[in-house]
This record gives sequence, C-alpha cells and structure tokens, in this order.
Amino acid sequence: MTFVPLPGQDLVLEATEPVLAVLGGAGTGKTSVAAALVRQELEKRPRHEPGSRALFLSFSRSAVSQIVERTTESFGPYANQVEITTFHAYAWRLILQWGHTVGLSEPRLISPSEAKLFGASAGITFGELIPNALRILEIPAIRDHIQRRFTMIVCDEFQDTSDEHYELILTMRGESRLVFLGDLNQCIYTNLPGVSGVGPNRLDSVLALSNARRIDLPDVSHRDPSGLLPAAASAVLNREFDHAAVRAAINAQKLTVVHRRNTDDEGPIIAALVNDLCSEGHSSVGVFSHHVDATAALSDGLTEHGVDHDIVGLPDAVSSALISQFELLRFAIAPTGSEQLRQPIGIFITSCERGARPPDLARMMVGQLEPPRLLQDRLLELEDDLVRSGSVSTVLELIDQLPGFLDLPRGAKSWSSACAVLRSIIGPRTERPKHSIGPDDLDRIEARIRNAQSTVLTSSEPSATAEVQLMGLYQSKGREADATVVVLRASDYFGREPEPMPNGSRLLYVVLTRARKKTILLVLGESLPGLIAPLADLVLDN
Amino acid sequence: MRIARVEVSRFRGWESLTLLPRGHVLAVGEPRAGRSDLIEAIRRVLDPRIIRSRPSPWDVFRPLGESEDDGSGSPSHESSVSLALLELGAKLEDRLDGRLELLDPDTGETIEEAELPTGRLGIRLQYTLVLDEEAEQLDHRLEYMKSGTRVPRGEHDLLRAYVVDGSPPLQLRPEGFFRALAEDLNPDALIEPLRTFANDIADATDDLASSDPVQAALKEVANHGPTRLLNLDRSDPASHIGFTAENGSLAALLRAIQPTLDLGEAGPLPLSLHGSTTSAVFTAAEASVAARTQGAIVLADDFGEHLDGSSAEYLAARLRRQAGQLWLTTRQPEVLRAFRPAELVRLGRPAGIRRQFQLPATPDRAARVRQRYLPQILGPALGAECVVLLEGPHDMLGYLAVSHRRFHKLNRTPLSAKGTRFVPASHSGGDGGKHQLPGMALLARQLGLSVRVVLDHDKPGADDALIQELCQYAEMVVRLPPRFAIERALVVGIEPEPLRAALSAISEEHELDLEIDIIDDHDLSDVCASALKRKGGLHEQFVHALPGSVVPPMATNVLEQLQKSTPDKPLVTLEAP
Repeated sequence: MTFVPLPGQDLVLEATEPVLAVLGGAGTGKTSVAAALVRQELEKRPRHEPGSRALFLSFSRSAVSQIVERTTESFGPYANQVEITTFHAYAWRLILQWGHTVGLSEPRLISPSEAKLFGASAGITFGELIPNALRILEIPAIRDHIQRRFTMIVCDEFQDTSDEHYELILTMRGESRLVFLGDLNQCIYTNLPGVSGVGPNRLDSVLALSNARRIDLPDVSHRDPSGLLPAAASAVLNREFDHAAVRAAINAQKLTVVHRRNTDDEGPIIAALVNDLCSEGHSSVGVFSHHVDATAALSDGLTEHGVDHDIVGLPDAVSSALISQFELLRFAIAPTGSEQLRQPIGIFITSCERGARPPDLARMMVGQLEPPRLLQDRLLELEDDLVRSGSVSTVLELIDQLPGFLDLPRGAKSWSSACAVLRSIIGPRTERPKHSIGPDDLDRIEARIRNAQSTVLTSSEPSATAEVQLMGLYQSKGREADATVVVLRASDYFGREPEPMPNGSRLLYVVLTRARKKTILLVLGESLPGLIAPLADLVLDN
Repeated sequence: MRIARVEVSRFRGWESLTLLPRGHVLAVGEPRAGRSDLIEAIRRVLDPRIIRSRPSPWDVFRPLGESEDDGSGSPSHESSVSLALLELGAKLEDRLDGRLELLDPDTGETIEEAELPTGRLGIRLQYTLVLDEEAEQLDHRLEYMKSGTRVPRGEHDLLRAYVVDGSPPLQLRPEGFFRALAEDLNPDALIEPLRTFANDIADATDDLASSDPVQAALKEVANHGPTRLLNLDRSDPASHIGFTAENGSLAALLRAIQPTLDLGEAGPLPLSLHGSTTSAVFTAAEASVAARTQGAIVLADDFGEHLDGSSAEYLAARLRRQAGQLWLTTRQPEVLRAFRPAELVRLGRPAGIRRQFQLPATPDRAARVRQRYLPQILGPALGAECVVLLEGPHDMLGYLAVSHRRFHKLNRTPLSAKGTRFVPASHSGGDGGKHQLPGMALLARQLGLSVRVVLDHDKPGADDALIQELCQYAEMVVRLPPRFAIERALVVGIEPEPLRAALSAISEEHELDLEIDIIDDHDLSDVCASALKRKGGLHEQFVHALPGSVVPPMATNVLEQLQKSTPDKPLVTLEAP
C-alpha cells in the first residue's frame, strides 16, 4: 500500500535527522506516518543484513494491538522485520534470554497481586522488569549486539515515558534513528505510583539529543475526519464547556451526554447504550470506566445483561484465575494440602481488587486472617468435591462454579475467561477420567499455563478483539473504536488539583478523542467531582 | 567465526579431549594420535552434510565399555562433540539472536558473574551419537547446548565450515565447492547460463542425431527387427529414435565437464592429468577464496600431502590469512612456518593415551623468542614420540651415519623406526648449541615429546649446572666418557687398520694432505678426531668411509643407551670402550 502523506506528515518522511519528535493531537496520524517512515528506512537496507529491523515500543498491550492493526498493511513485505512490543514485554524477553547473566537463571514473573499478598521476594515483579533489562544491557557484548539490531526505534506516547523507559531506549539505541511520537495534551501518567520522570519535560530531553528535530503535525484528526470530536475534546481540555465546538459536536450527535442520578442500575444502563450503538451499525464499541475494581464490576454487569465483551487491561485477574484453576485441577488429581488451592485463590481475589493492601478475604484464604466458619466449611466441601470427582469434565464444572460457590464479590468474568483458556489447554483430555492424567500431563499443562501467564503479563501479541471492549480510562490511550461509552461516576477519584485541573483535563481529552464516529458520556450519580460536574450540566443545556 | 572450545567424549579414538584453541590451529603429532579424528569431530558439528547422512558406528569410541541406561532399559553408548563458537560476525549474531550466549572468550564456557564485562556473544553446539547396542541402532543429532533444541537446517548451513578434502577442485556440479563460490555473490545469476548450457547441449545432440550419416545408420538398425517388433512407423522408423546427453540431467552434464589447464606446449589438458600437486594447489585456493568471503572456519586434514614443502607453506599461509579460523593438520614441517607458536597443537600418545599439548602463553621474552624459532629447531621432530637433542649438526650427522650404517651393515633397527628423531640445538658447529639445550628441552616437553639429550664431555666438571637444568626436562641425559666429544666417540675403539683406511679415504677425497703411513697407531685416534673437524666437518663422510661392517663402538654405545627404557635418574655417563 502506498502511503500518501498529508500536509505535515511529508515533513516527517523527508526528515533526515537522527532523532525526530513528532507531535500531534489525537488522531492526527502519528502512528501511520511513523509506520511509513519505518518502511522507508527498511527499504533502503538490504534484507537479512544486521540492523535491517525496526522496533516499535509502546506502553500497553492494547496500544500494541492497535498499532499492529493499523500498521501491518503499511509495512507490507517488511512487516516481519518490525517488532511491535511493549517496553515491559521487550524487557521480559531480554531477561528470558540473558537473565542468567545477572543471576536470574530461571526468571519467574510474579503478578502484582502475588507481590501484594506475599511480598516481592517470590520472583520478578512487573516493576522490576525494566531495571533488570538495564542491568543486562550494562554487559558490553550484549549491549553492542542489541545496539546493532535496529535501524530505527519508534517510541509511541513518548510524553508518558518514565526515566527508566527513556534510559532503555537510549541504551539500546546505538546508531539507530529514534522517532518519538507524542502529544503533550495526552500526558496522563504523571501521577502513577512508583514511576518517575513522566512529564512534559521529556520533550526537552528528546530535543536536547544531538541533531534532534521537532515536527508538529497539523491539528486535523484523521480518526474523526469531521474534526468535531477532537475540537470538542480540545475545548474540554481547556475547560471551555460552553465552547461552540462542544455544542457543534452535540448537535451533530457525535457527542451525547447522559446523566443518571441513580447509580444502582449501572449494568443495565450501559448494556442498553452499547446495544443501541451496535444496532446503529458501529462495528466496534469501547467502554471506558474508571479504575480496575469499577471495571471488573462493570464487566460482571455487562455479562449479566448479555453483552459479550473483552476486558482489556485486566490480565492479572485472568492469569491469576488461570493459575488457581490449574491448582484446583491438580488438587483433584493429586491432592497435597489445602494451601495448594487456597494460596492461588487468595492471589486471584487480590487481583480483582484495587488498593495497596490485599483484601481481607484473600488474607483469610492464605491463612493470614482467621476465616469465618461458613467459608471454612465451603472450602472443605470444595476440597471434598474435587477429590471425589471422577472425570476431568466434572472437575472443570466445579471450577466453573467456584466464584458463586465461594460467594466471591468480583471477578466472575475474569474467572470464566480463564476457564475458557484452561479448557483449550487441556484439550481432548477433558473427556478422560481424571486419574488418567499423569504427572507428565500435569507438568505439560502447567508449563503451558505459566507460559500463558507470562504472555498475558507481557505479551505484545494482539489478543482476539471482540466487538465490545471494556477498559479503564487510563488504558484507553492509543486505542480507537467506532463508538465509545465513557463512564464517569460521582464516586470516581480524580485527584485534588484546583482549576483548571490540567491532569484531569488531559485524561478527559484522551477519553473523548478515542471515537471515530460517536462518543457517549455517561455521568452517574449526584455530588459530582469538580472535574466532571460541568459535563453533566451539558445535559441540562441539551 | 572461531571455535573457542572443543570437547570430545568417546568419539572415534578420543576417549576425551578438551581443546582451547588460541587463534588458528595447526595440529601436528605422532601417527595415530588423533589428528584426523579431531578434524572429523569438528566436521560432525560444522559440516551439515554429516547430520543429513547416516551416522557411522565407527564414530563410537572402542572398546565400548560400560553402557548407559537411557531409561528405555536398553543399553546405549553415547559419543559427543561440543563446540563453542565465537566472533560470529554481526550478520550471524543478528540471525541467531535467540541462540546467543555470553561466553568467556578464552575458554568458551558460559561466563562467571565477575567476568561479565569481558564476555563475548557466541553459541554452543553439541553433536551426539547414540548407539543402541541391542537394537544395533545408531542415532545422531545436533543441538544448541543453551536450550537443548535441534539446530534447524537453515541455521546449520549458516554455520558450516569449509572442508578441504580430497574431492577434485573446480567442480561446477551442484555439490561442488567451486559451484558454491560461483553462486555466493549472486545465487540467481548462474541460473540462466546453466539453463542455456543445458539447452545448447540438447540442441547440439539433436543436430548430431539428425545428421544424414546418423539417420542412415539408425534407419538400417531399425529395419533389422525393431520396426516390426516395436511397431515403429515403417516409412520413417528412425524418427522414433533420439539422443540425449547424460540422460538429460543437468547435474550429470555438469559432472561430465571437467576443468582443463593450459601450462605450455601441450595445450589445455584435463586438470587431473597435470598431477596431484596441481590439483592440490587449486583445492587450497578454492578454500582460501571461500574463507575470505565468509570469514568462515576452514578444516583441512593432512594438508600438503600432495604439495612440496614450500608450496604447502605458501598455501597454508594464504588460507590462514583469509579464514576466520583455520584448522589444519599436516605432516609437512614447513607448514609450521605459516603459523604462530601459540597456534600449534601437538597430539601425542604418552603411555598409549591420546593427549594434546599446546605451548603455554608466557610473558618471558626469552621464552617467546625460543617459541618463535620452534619451526627451525623442533619442526621435523613434532611427528615423533621422542626427540634426542644434540649439541650441534656434527653430532647429528655423525650419530645418524652410525645409525644408518648399523642398519645397513648389521641389520639393527634405527632409532627413527622407533619414533625417535635427532635434533641439533644449533645449526652451526661450535659450542653455541650446548646452551640452547635446556630451552629446547623445555619446549619439547611442553609439546609432549619425550626428551633425551646427548652431551659431550670434553671439559669434565664444566657442565654441571647445565646438566642439572637438563635433568629437569629430559628423561635421559647421556654423557660421553670424560674428555670425549663426538669426534672421539666416532673413532675411539676402532682397530687401527680400518681407522687408517677410512682416514686415508677422506684425506684423499677432501684433500686433507695427511701422510697416513707415518702416523703411529698410538696417535691414530687423535689425528683422526682432529681430521673430522676440518673442511666444515667430515663426521658423516668418515663413518661412511669405514671399511666392511665396522661401526664406531663408542657411538654405538650411545645409540644403544638411547634405546633403553627411562632410567630412574636421568644422567647416564658412559664408560670409555
């Protein structure tokens, strides 16, 4: 496919500088032009020569899947010479290959929940991936090798790179050309815990690199060619809620604001909105909701109301569920002790809840707190049922029913997603009597699950995409859909910054610029936080 | 690319071998000490043709010994060869990214944490051959040691070594080395000329077949039975018959064309008719080109067999310059000059067990200088088991002449037949050689040779320190009786009559102007000994001039002592006859 550059994009393709900072608002085509630039660079080089590769780095798996979707065609025959991955997945790959050199011989990636419940000594946590990769890159031979590998490194959403992300890029660079794509208005990770250096000054450090050039793409959104949604989002960013652009978007039915004071029926309301959007002919719908716990609850609600969807950005819950389910299976076949299944269930429960401390229920599961009588009885009953079960399929049924049986408050969707994965891994063994599953079979299943777990945590492979995708507000960046439903609740916490609330406004800007055709803003509850209160007022004006 | 470590276990004649090359490798040594087996071991890993063919039961070390139980309950014997490869080059490192390991550049082993900054990227490969004794089944595989996964064919091809073997040079057939060179730069460019070649041959064959005489002869043959029996067209039976060259196979056609060489009046002659030396020159040249384009590992066993010494040296030097790493075995001492001393690997069989020896790296300048002159001084002896070090060339020529004479006149086995070589410490006469002896003895010992030394004894008491030093390295130091040097060792003890005859003969032949008749019998030995030193040394000539089957008794004592087993104390002082 020939890429026809739009005004501004041509500057990127013509540039010869070794470092480019390409800035542009949401939907201005940064990713597309970067893909065209990568292809142009690869075309210059003989194939199979060292350095005939490019690396596309982004933050989240979801962003990566979207880059893959959007760029595969542009890369054409060069697609397999472009590695599109997340910072963490790349770091994990380096650790798998070279970890033994820095004392990580059999690296095990532990989930954030596992670290939260038991402490971090059990393995490498997500936060340790990049520091360990940087340690590996201190070894001259490995660094030299990596530095020769890529002719170009593209960093997406560079305004959100932390100091360690940025150091990783510079360490891997060698002679590679660097392309930084970003939008300062979308800088929404400044206040993430445990991350340092995120902020608009990243642009200064990029431009301070030798022969760096800044290119600003004109503010025309290719995502919403009418330009109405981006214009409205820009007005919201500046907290100009009565701006004509906002009005124009509402009048054109590109933007719809719905306010419900009663928050109890969130599930059916959102399910109805999503169904409406689908019946209007939108082929993809994104539902954005605040933070992990609310998203998990919403997921259960959607499932209950028959909306088939994928959760984006809750991989920890799914992988924790998968491990728990495997341990339940193993217990049914070769029981050793109660901890064998209580520990992983505890981790799963932790993974479904937000907060720095593990939930009490999880602590009860792992014996850190005394469980109530009823829970103890249920657990013993579960163990009994598992041991007495005769076939693998009976065991799987018991596993399926576990969230209801133990009355778990959250995570039903993650649990059932994991069940599907487990069934596919077990394959035809499902039909066998459970005692025909030998230790070797279990080892094989476990190896595949551990692999699936690290894939879920670090994978850069695009996951199967459903028509409806549910994700947190912060995970929406870099994604796009035909239509979006942005759920904002009175109970959501947006920080305590005073007007003009720059961080919160940037978050609103990001979530409002994800739709190609239509955005529905659903505001729920009364006594709304200052950031979103003016949005609810738009309904009254409407 | 270079091999940083070779480990062989129970392969062919090697029960076990660990070799850490220092740059290129020149393997020399005793017969049956494993030179060819070493090259074959490396081929098992780096020659993709091997893993694609059937394994050989003779690759398994014999005797088979205790079998291992592989879990199947069936006894099996395992042989293995593992290599650590370094300096793969940017292109290979890029292609084999996931296979790379951080290795110690000196030992080829995975690196210790403290050594991380010095680590280099490389890969480790292992060839394993398993013999199932009961099922008489052989299985072999090649794996990356890092992961235990099989080496895919495409990757194996990238790692292949160039093997200089006995196959003829300049072959255009598909499996030819030369063909690979012709395709290396642009694999597609040769397709068209080959197609044209095949078509032209087919056309020329058709032209020949359709010529009148051929058609007439075909018609005649066809009419003597085939037309009726095979139902051929009666009006034109010859039209059923055609010709094709080599069954129409391009590969066969290419096999049928052989290189020619025009070296003078005879005009172009097939290369094979120019003799083995000419072919050997081209074979080595092909390998040299291949090595240059790939920076590859080149393996050459028994290099220089069909070459004279200086050509072998020249071609080896070229190969060494071009190859990423050259592994060469040879029996030609001149080839040694093409290599650095550190690159020498001598294979020996002390006490019947194969071992390998390399000169140690040394900061000592004198030792390094000595190592540099190794080819001149020890070169010819490296294929022997034992070296007898002598003070100078006269000693060597004298003892050798006596040894030959004993063989021819008395049928006594010479030392050379027992794997022993004489080597003089100095190539000029005079006294200088004596002080080189300890350094040479040390070098020879480091290379795994048994060392014996023969010393004059013309100034009793003067050599005590020297002898003490020599006794550290040599298993036997044979000292002549007091006031004996080589000349007296050749003459003392011979009856006056044969002595006078030999003296007379060399006097006449070399114009010594000696009046033999007036020499008293009593003085004859001394006169004779002095005469041997004249005209640059007449030791050898004197021995050959002795009449009948006379051999010098003192020199004989020396030779007999050298054939004895190792004494408890190295110093043996002979008694005068």
